[in-house]
This record gives sequence, C-alpha cells and structure tokens, in this order.
Amino acid sequence: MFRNIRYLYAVLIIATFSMTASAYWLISGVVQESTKLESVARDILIGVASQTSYELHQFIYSLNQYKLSNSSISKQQLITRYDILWSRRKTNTLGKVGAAFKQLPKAPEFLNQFHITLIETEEAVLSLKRKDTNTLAQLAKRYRDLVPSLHQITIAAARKATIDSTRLHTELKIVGYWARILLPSILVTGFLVAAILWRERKSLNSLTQHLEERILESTLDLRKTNQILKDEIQEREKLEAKLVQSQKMEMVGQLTGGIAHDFNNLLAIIQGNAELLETLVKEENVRLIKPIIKATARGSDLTQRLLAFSRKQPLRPESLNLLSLVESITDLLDRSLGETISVKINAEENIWTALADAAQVENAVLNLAVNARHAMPNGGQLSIDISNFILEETDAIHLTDAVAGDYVLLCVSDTGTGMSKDTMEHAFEPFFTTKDVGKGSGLGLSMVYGFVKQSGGHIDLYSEEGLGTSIMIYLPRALESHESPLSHLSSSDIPQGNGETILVLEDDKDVLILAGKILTSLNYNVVPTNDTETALQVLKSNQKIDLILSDVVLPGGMSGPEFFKENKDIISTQKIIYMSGYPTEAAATTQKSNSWDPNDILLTKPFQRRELALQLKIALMADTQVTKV
Amino acid sequence: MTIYKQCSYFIAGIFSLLLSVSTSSALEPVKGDVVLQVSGNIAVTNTDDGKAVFDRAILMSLPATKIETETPWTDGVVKFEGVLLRDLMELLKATGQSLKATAINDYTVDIPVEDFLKYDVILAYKMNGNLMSVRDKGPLWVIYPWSDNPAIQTEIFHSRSIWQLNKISVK
Repeated sequence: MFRNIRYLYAVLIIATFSMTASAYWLISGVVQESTKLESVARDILIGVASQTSYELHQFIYSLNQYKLSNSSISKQQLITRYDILWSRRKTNTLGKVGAAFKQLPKAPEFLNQFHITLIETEEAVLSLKRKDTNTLAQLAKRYRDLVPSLHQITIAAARKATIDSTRLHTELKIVGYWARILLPSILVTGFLVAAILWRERKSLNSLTQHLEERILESTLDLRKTNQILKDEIQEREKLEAKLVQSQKMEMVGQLTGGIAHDFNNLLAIIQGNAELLETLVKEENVRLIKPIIKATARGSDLTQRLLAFSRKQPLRPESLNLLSLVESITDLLDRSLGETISVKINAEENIWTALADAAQVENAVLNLAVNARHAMPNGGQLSIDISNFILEETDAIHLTDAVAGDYVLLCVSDTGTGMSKDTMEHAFEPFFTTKDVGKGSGLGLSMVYGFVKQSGGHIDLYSEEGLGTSIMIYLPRALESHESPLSHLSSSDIPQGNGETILVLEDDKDVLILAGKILTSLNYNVVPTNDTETALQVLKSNQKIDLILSDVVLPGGMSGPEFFKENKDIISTQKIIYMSGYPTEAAATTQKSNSWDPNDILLTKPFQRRELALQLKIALMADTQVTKV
Repeated sequence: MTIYKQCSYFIAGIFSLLLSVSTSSALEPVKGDVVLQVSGNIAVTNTDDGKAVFDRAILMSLPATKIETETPWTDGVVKFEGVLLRDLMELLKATGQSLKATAINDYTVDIPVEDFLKYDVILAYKMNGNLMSVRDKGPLWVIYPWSDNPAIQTEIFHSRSIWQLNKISVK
C-alpha cells in the first residue's frame, strides 16, 4: 500500500515535470510558428506591392526602349507588359490578397488611378507606332505618375509589417516573460502539492489507523461492559424469579401448613374418638365406624402430604447411604415404571452419607419415578445419579435459600417430553398437575420440594421440551452418625401397657381427654394436666411418673422441651414423648433454647393409637439404657 | 506518416520517370503560337534543340482535368481546367526531381515532382470555362486543388502557383 502511494507520487512528480516541459515547448513552438507565418504574410503584402511596382517600372522601361531604333522589344512584348499590368491590378483587388492590399493607406485611390490609366491608355498602347515618340513620352509620363503613390503604398506595407511585427514581438516578449514566471511556478506548485499530499496522506493514514484502533478498542470495551451488564441483568432476573418463586412457595407453604395443622387437630379428635367408639360399640355397628377411621386415615395422609410440602412434617433424619437406599427400592421402581422404561443408577465412588429421613427419600424417589413414567408414555430411560457436591459461596447465590457446604446430589433424569417454561415455574406448587383430572394429586413434587427444603437441602429443576427433565436434590452431608430409633420397630400388634403412670401435658382439652382415653384403653395410668403449673405440682409430689407425654407448644410461651429441661431436677423419669401438630414449630422453639434432645421422641398429631402405643412401649422398654445429657 | 508518404511518392515518381525513358514517341510539331516551352531532362521533344513546345491546341488535345477551388487571388470558388502536370511530364518522358517554372515577367519558382505526383496539380488554360488571357493570369496557370486539400493551403504551395507561365525546365 505504502509502496504504491510512493510510486503514485513519483508518477505525479514526473507528470508535473513532463507536462510543464511540454507546455513550455508547445508555447515556444506556437510563438515561433506564428512569428514565421506572420512574417510570411507581411512579406507577401510587401511582395505584392513591390511586384506591381516592378511591373510598372518594366512597362515604363519597355515604352522608353520601344522608341529606340535598335530596340529588342517587340510590339507584342510591349502589349504583354501592358496586359501584365492589367493582371497586377486584378491581383491587387481580387481575393484575400487583394482585400489585404486594399486595406493599406491610399491603396484604393491608387487602384482607382491605376484603373483609369489602364483604360484611358489602352487604345494608345494597342495602336502604338514605334516612331510615335510623342505618344510614347505621354504614355511613359502617365505611368510614371503612378510610381510615387505606389511607392508610398509599398513603404506603408513595409511600415505596417514592421509595426505589426514589433507589436507581435512585444506581445511575445510579455508572453515569454509570463511563461518564465508561470512555468517555474507551476513546477514548484506541482512539487509542493505533491509534497503536501504526501505528508497529508501519511498523517491521515496514521490518524485513521489510530482512530480505527481507538474505535475498535472502545467498541470492544463497550461490548465487554454491555455483556457484563447483560449478564448481571440476567443474573438479577433469575435471582428475582427464584426469589419470587421461593416467596410464593413459602407463602403457599405457610397457608397450607396452617390449614393442615388445625385440620390435623380436628382429625385427631375424630380419629381418636372413633377408635374408642370402635372398642365400645356392638360388633354389628363396627362397620359404621370403620369408614370413619379410614376417612380420618386418608385425611391424615393428605395433611401429612400438605405438611410435607409446607416443610412441617415430622422428619427423622439419619445418616443415609443414598446408593444403598436407591438400590433397595430398585424392584419397586421397576414395577412402578413398567417394562418400557429402563432404570440406570450411577454413583460416584466413596459417596458421602446424607442426612435425611430415609422414608421420605424413598418417597421422593418414587414420586419422581412416577412423574418420569408419566413423561415417558412411549418408554425411555430413568437415570438416577448420585454424587458428592460441594456448594461454594459463589454458587450458593444461584440457589435461593441455599447455604454453602457439602451435599450429596441425587439427580433423577428422564428422557421424556420435558416441561415448558410455564410448567417449570409452577412445577413445585401444590395441586399443580399436568396429569388428567383424577390421575394425580398434584402434590408429588410439592412434597419432595417441602421435604428437601425441610431437610436443609435444595432442589433444582432442569428441563428441555422434547429432551427430558432432571430433578436435582441436594441433601446435606451427614457429619455424624444418626441412628433412627424407629428403625427397630416392626411389631404388628398394639402393645399394651402394664399400668405405668403417664403424665400428659396438653393445653387442648379435647386432645388431652382423647390422649387420656387412649392411654387408659392401652392399660396405662393417666395423670392429665392442661398447664405447666399443674404438671409441676404433680411432678413435685411423690407420685411416681414413668413417662411424660407432652405437647411441644405449651401455654405461657414456654415450649415443652424447655419446660422439662428447666425442671429436670424434679423429674424422676427421663422418658419424655413430645407430640405436635406442627413439628417445625417445635423444632424452632426447642432449637432456640437448645433444649431439644435427639432421644426425645416426637409424635405427630393426629397420632394413631397403634403408633402411640408403639412409641410408649419403646420408650418404656429402653428403660435405663437411655441416658440424658 | 506524411513524410513517409511524400517520400514514397517521390521514389515512385523517379521510378516512373526512369521507366518512361525506355520508350519514345513523337510529339507533333507546333502549329499555332507557342504558349509553353519545356526543356531539360525530357526524352520526347519536337524542336531541333531538344525542347518540347506547345501551342494551345496541343495542350487542349491532351486529357483535361477540372479543379474547383478558391485561391487567394480570386473571389469565390473558381473552376479551372487544364492538363495534369503529371500527365504532361509522363508524355515528355521527363526525369528529375523538380521543375523550374518561369513566367512571362521572368518570375521563377521550383515545383517539386512529389507535388504533382501526390496532388492533381494542373496546368490550367481555362478559368470558369473561358480561355485565360495574360490579363487573367493566362495563358497558363499552375493550379493546386487547395479546397480539397487543406494541407496545401499554405504560403509555400501558394508561391508555387505560378501564373502567366511560359517555360518549364526539368531538373
């Protein structure tokens, strides 16, 4: 590029040079030519005048010679000379030459006189006799008279030529003068223009280059900033969406939890009374009571699920090997998925143990499997991947409510139809279902969601329409080993008591009465109390108390565990069973005061008679093995 | 190009003039007044001293050529009629490079051979259909076809247009 420009300028300079040179050459050529042509034209005018003069003199000479006896001039020659004068007159009047001649001063007068002379002497010339000297002399005189004026014209022609040529010369001198100034100026200008253009081009080039670089730089900067902003906006939008989602879930959860709690108490009363009634009524009327118990069981089941979603179900977290847990339910999975769907289980080596409620994990996996089957009507593959996962602080912000730490990731993926964006947004909401009416409760994913959240884990959903769906469950890593006290329970009979005395502390009168009745029917001795003061009085008395059955939430702002911890010195027994319709409430209040003991048994209201009986039996059987801090 | 053309005409002219030396034919003797006398390097003659002389009748018996042209010495377009100088020189088997032309008033001029080889230069005896007298620059006037050839509208060619011509010497 640069080389080419250099060549261009070289060519430009050479062109300027050669153009100037040729202009100089042309002008001098033209000047020379015009000078030559002009001088030729002047010469011809002088020539025409002097030729006429010459012919006039020749005729006069011939006239003079003719009269001599030894003259060499014939009459014919004389006449020819005369005829030549005629032709001269024509030359001096006709054509361009004649026109130029007539322009000379006094020429028209001369030509007129010349013509008159020729006409007037014609007869005399043609009839001339050699001896007629008189006529000859007269004729010579007539023609001599023409000589002075013709001579003057000749001189005028010469003078005109001189003046013209002088003027031309002057003009040429001026032209030459200007040419000498102008041509070098042109040369210098051309040179300067070329030099300036060269410099301009050079600086312009570097400027342009610099500008381009800067524009490119700033464009890149802008693009980068723009990208960062875009990313931030996206991030923010995502976070906001997640926040909104989680707040919504929280609200729905609270609402659901509230309803479930109150409903549970009602159910407990209905169920308890029905069960009692069952033992009292006649055999033929039992069939009327069975559906009531069944219905309360179903209602209880429903409230359980609602509580699960609202993160308010009673959980018994324990250290779990998720792989062995999943493997243990493989048969169940195969059966519920059908033949067209294959199950693939992958697990990382040295998988950490997770802290979660085993039964709920199973429940969750089964729920997800059912959803997967629904998403794969034409078969496919269900993958369950288990891996260790360290959630960094930076990643934690992407998951609302997530806390950084170690997790065990349980990922359940299908190759099904996937979810639309809209479906994804509502997937965790209770009673939201894509299944036909009556086919699904719409509580499956909600329960899983609530369970995971309640377990201190996270849940995430990834789905692409036509490709499949993955549900990622992050369960917290178990750092200590937790043994489930319930894992040993397997009896199918309702164990009866042996007349042990049980202190019941419950502010709800109906529940208190119900508990009393159930315990009595189970062959226990009941000491009912509906506030802490009464309970304290009983405890302070010498009455032997084998076990305490207490509500978690007590009137007066103190929680059950707090109350008993405070008064542990006067409590003879270390066996306490807490009951609550609202386990998280219990957990919250007890954790706050750090009064919760993992060995304290927690019963969820409404409890079944059998469950209560089992718990009582276990607690009483544990006897002295249980030691408290 | 022009120079090359002129050169080629010149060479061709010499060649043709040389060629014509080999053959000879008689030129009929003059009967009327002599209007033209040709001397110099000519092979065909009709006088004892080796010249060719012409009266008007002989000249007018030769193939005539007409030229319509303007001249600096006449008004408007003029019709001239006469013999091509080329034909005349061929007739006389002339050899040389130029013609020395002389007029009645002893005016002389050299006419190069290439002039009449390249252009149709005539020895005119008629102007606008009339024979030319001495008063009309006759009886013979060398005329170039100026109007058809702007290239020869210059003083050099004008100066070769000799009038009242009566002698030619081939050199």
